[in-house]
Order: sequence, then C-alpha cells, then structure tokens
Amino acid sequence: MGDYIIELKGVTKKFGKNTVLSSIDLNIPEGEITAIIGASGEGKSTILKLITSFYRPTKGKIYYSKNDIFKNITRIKKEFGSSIESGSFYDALTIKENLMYFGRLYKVDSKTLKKRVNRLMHFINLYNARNVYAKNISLGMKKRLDLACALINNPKVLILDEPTADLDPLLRNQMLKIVKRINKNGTTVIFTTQLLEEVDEFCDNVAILYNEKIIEHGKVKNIKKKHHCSDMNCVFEKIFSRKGRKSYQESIIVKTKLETEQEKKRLILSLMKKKGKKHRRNKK
Amino acid sequence: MYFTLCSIIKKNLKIFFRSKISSISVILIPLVIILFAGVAFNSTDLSNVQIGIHSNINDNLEGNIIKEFEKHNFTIEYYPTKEDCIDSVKLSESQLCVSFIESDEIIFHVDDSRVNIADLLINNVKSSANIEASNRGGILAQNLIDTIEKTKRDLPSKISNLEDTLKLAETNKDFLGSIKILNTEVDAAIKQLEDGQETVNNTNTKNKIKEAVIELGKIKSNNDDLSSNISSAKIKESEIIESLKSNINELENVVQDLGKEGMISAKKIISPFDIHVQPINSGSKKRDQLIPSLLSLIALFGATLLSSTFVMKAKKSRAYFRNFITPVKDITFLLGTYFTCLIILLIQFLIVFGGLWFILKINIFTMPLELLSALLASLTVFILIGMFLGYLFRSEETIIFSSVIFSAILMFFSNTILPLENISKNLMKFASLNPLVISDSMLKKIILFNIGFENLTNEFIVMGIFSLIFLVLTYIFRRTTRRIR
Repeated sequence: MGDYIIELKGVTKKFGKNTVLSSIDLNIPEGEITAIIGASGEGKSTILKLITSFYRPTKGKIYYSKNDIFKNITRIKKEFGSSIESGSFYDALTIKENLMYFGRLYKVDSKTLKKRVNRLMHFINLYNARNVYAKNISLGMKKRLDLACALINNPKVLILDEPTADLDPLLRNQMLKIVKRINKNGTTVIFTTQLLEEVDEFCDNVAILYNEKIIEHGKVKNIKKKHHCSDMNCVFEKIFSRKGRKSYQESIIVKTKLETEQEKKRLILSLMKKKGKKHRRNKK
Repeated sequence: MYFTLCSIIKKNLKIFFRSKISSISVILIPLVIILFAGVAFNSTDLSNVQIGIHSNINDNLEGNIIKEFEKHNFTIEYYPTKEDCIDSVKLSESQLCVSFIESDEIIFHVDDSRVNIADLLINNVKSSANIEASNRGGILAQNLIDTIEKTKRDLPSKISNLEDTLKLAETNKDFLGSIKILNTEVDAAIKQLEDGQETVNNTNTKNKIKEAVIELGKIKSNNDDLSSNISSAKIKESEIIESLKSNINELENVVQDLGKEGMISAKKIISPFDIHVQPINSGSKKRDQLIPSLLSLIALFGATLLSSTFVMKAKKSRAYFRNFITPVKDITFLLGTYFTCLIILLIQFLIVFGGLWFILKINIFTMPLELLSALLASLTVFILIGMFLGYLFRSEETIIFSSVIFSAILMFFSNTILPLENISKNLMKFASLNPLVISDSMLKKIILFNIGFENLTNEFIVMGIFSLIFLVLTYIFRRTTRRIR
C-alpha cells in the first residue's frame, strides 16, 4: 500500500444476481482530485457508495488510511463529505435550515455552526437565497446546496456523484471551480463524471470503468503520455479501438437508453461533435 | 445524543407543519370524529327505530304493547301479512318485526346479522312487551287472589258446619247402645211372654201371645240387622270423623297462612323476587361510554398511520442518504421519529380533550396522571407498530395498506365490533393481549370507573413489553432494510 488515502482491493458488488462491479482495484491519492469515468449503469455511483460505507461489498476490502472502512464507520462518517447526483437534502427546509440541520447531525457546536453555514452560503453563492425552500431553487442551486451540505463537516474526503450533471456549461464551470477551490484547501476529492473535458481540465487522477471493471487508472498526465495523447478524448479513442470494443461514446448511447431525454441529447451532441471532428480529420 | 435528537425532532416537526393541509387534517380529523360521535350519541335511548307490526288478533294486548313502543319513540308500521313484515326487516325498512299470532303469543323477528343492534333492540322491545305481560299476569293473579280471599272468608263458616256434622255423628254413636238396650228389653219381653203363654190356657190368648212373640222376634231380628248396620256405619263414621278432623286442621292452617302479611299480593305471585339491573356507570350517556373506545381507536389509527408514513417519507426522502452518512446512530433517528409522532399525537389529543371539555362539556380528567400514562403507553405501542411496518415494507402502497390492515385486524379482534366473549377460547387468549383491547380497557377503567395505577399494573406491564418488542423489531428492520447490502 502506497500513499493512498482510499484503497479498494478486489471489490465485487452484486445486487442479487446482477454483478455491477467485478473484482476492482482502485487507489485514491490523498489531497488530489480523482475522477471515475464511465457510462451510465457502469457502477460509478456504486463505487462512491461503497467508499462511503452506504453499500457493503459482496467481496473484497475497502481501506481508508489503511483501515478497513467497515471497522471504522464512525470515523468515515465524520471525515467524509458526500454528494449524490439527485441531491440529498430536505425540500421542505430552506437552504439555511438544511445546512444547520446537517451541521447539528455532525455535532458542530452552535456558534461554530452558524459561522460555518454563513461562510458556506457565501462560498457557494447561496447566501441571498438562504431563506428559500430547497424545493423552490434552481437545479444549479440545488447542486451547490448539496455540495454545501457535503462540506458542512469540513471533510477530509469529498465524494461527489456527477456534480455537474444536467448543468449548463456556465454553471458546470462554476461548480468545478468551487470543487477546485475546495481541493486547494487539502481536501481529497473523488467525483464521477461522463464528460472527458472535466477530467482534462480539473482532475489529477482518473479511473475508467467499463464492463464491471476498471480498465485504466492513474495520473491523468501519465495516462495521456502512455497513449501519446493530448486529451482524454484521444485516450478513449485509443483504448476502445485497440481493444476492439465499441467506442466509449457508442457504449454510452447503449447504456443510456433509459436515461433522461436531456442527458441523451447531451451525449448525442457529444457523439456528433466527436464524429464531426473525425470526419474533418479524415478529410484532411 | 440529546442535542442531535432535538434537531431531528425539530426538523421533523418543521417539515410536518409546513405541509399545512396534511397537518391540519391529521390534527383536526380526530376532533371532528369525536365531536360527531359526541353529538350523535348524546342520548341514553335508541332512536330512529321503526318496528313492523303484523297482527292476527283483535285484542287490546297489541294496542297496549304498541303504546309502550311509542313511549320509546319507536315508529310503528303495520303490515298485512307476516311475510311482508319480515321482508321489511330484510329490506332494512324496519329494524324489527313484531308478530301477534294469538292472544297469548308474540314473535319478534330480528335481523341478527346486525349483531350490534339486534340484542339491544330485542331487550328494549321485550321490556315494552314485558310491561303488558306483567299487566296481564297481574290481572290473572289478582283473580286468583280474590278467589283465595273469598275462600278465606267462607272457610270459617264451612268449618263450623263440618264441626256441627261431627257433633251430630258423635251423638249417633250413642244410638247403637240404645238399640242394644232395646233388644235386651225385647228379649226380656219375649221371655216374659213365653213364660206367660204357659200360664195362659186360653188358646186364643195363647195364639195372640205367640203372634206377639213372633212379632217381637221380628223386631229383634230387625234391631240386630240395624245394630250390625250401625256397627259397620260406626266404623266408617270414625274414619270420616278422623278425616274431617284432619281436614279441619288443614283448613285452619290455610286460613292462618292466608292471613299472613304479604302472602296475598299479585306482584309477589308474578315476580316472587325483585330483579334490578343497575348499570355501574348509571346515568352516563352512550357517548360517555363510547369515549374510551373512540380514544383508543384514534390512538391506534392515528399513531400507526402517522408513524408508518413518517418512516416511509424518511426512506423515500432524498435526504435519506445524507442522514445515513452522518455519524448519528440508528437509535437516535428511531427515537427522533418516535418523539415527533408522539408530540404530534399529543397535540392531537390535547385538541380532542379541549373539544370534549369546551364543546361537549365532558370532563375525562378525573384521574389526569393515570389517563396521560395510559395514553402514552398506548401511543408508544401504536407508534412503534407503525414504524415497524414502515421499515418492514418498501413501497408506499404496501406500507399504507399494511398499516390499515394491521389496525383493522386489531380492531376486529377487540370489543369494538363484537364482544370478545363471542370468539373461541383459544383465540380469546391472544385477543386479550391485543394492544387495542388493553388500551381500551385501561382508558375505560380510568375514564368510566376512576380506577388508579394499583389496578392497572398488568396492563402497563404488557404495554411495556409490546413497546420493547416493537422497538427491537423496528431497530433490526431499519438496519437490515437500509441499503447496506
């Protein structure tokens, strides 16, 4: 075991007879941003929920600072902050009430909590909407509220499940900048995404999930170097064409048959963009 | 834990009361139910009862019974045939059909599928008919008494006559002696005549004397026959005299008994002893008797539905994941839900008690500490049952359905629909442990009979055991059904 804050060793996760993850190994370096990338249904969220101890692995072990997480659940809960794709807060409470409530669950004392909530609301730019019910705020604000809830305990590890999903480019960029700022304070960030650009721009490490397994994982720059690529799109092209698999984007289309129309459109646009680039290259 | 628990309760209450329609309905519906019940059952009698009458007789019996029915404000409807009358019960037009077959026979036809009202109705109507039966019985008994009285009056003179006859018979006893003396005298006369005959030479005289002797012989023979007849008559006469004497004695006893006080009373003959049914909660209206059962039912349905809904909403809430990843113990969340439900239900009961006090003017707080404790015990068990069902099932529909079904089962095996005594012995053992039965029994004892803690220990112990069992089950199911798999 090296200087990794989280390590997954031979982790398999089955839901009934359905295998989602099959004997995966993954190391998360401390203080860095790690992206887990894969198509919908590949098990990205499952990995995050395994790390947060919400799910128990069918096989294998998960370590946090070299300790089995299921033997240190209380520590995990105290030191981890987590945000899920759909958001995890109370719609019937205001932004401030949500933050105060979750802060109290972390047993933060009242004085400190009030200060921290105010700071967080300013930090994620929700202060002006602090007394608005969560059900009445926009999608971007919901994502930021969920992030703020995940930060309420000053976590050492921040786990974000598709924090930019369904956001327009401007909001996505804003969100990723916030994540980067959090990371600069020393927080280890693990997040899932389907967008390769995010990996290129914001991540130190990446794990590529495909068919129940992690097929590539390491430093982004090293992976790019290994495949002689300047961006992750190129890396993906090479990985998928070399292994004779369906392209990553095609696999996404297949996997996302049941996903929201909006997400589908986004992915199809991305595919068209990709094909357009290919077409232009071929012309040249 | 206290700090966290308070936060959870505060958050739950905020969310609950922010849904205005649901919170108002949850809190006010029981008040509406209890007020409706209070107004509806604000009497001690049956009302809106229609009685079908079919009669074959032309007797004032029918008229008198009907008058009694009308005193109870029962509506009377006449039917030409017995079948029409019975059909009116089948079609729910009448609650009861009374058929007067003969002057001494009345048949009640009742729909016993309406078990809860049939007995009550029969008792009520029977009591009306019994009044007329008593009146008639009274008349018959009075006739009997009059006859006895007349006999009582006539007996002394009859006894006197008998005694005279007896005296006469006693005098007849001496008559036999007289005949015997006469016979002796006749014998002496015959002897004298026979002796004289020998001394008389005159044939004519002799013949006359002979004829006289023969006549006297005949008289003697007749006297002997008479004597023998009198002897046998004397034996029979003695028997008759003895019998007469004993009869006289008995008659004298009868006359004495008839003279005793209270013996001759028509009321005593119809009903030799008085039966008084004295309800132990006499004077209370039906609504007062209903209150403990209504409170138990409100507690049962309110608590199970509210707590199961709370659990279901918590499980389905998008915040469920974040709650899970916080370093808060499962038991704290369980207690948070429990106390939230308890607070809401106590507010609900406070409003219900206010309604009872201010609107219906019913004071059930004669034993406030006992009442509050019984209510707490009942609510705790029912809340934990609801929470258990909430964690046991996954879909919203199943949770709501199971809560309603579970409550309905508890209600069915309680005294609410049918008295528990109607069910089989084996099942009765289980039914007596039904939390609703225990809750109902506790509240009845406290509200209706002012019974204190010393006689409620068993109920509190059983409710405590139930609470513990359901708390453990809820805890286990929360842990096993949450998404750590």
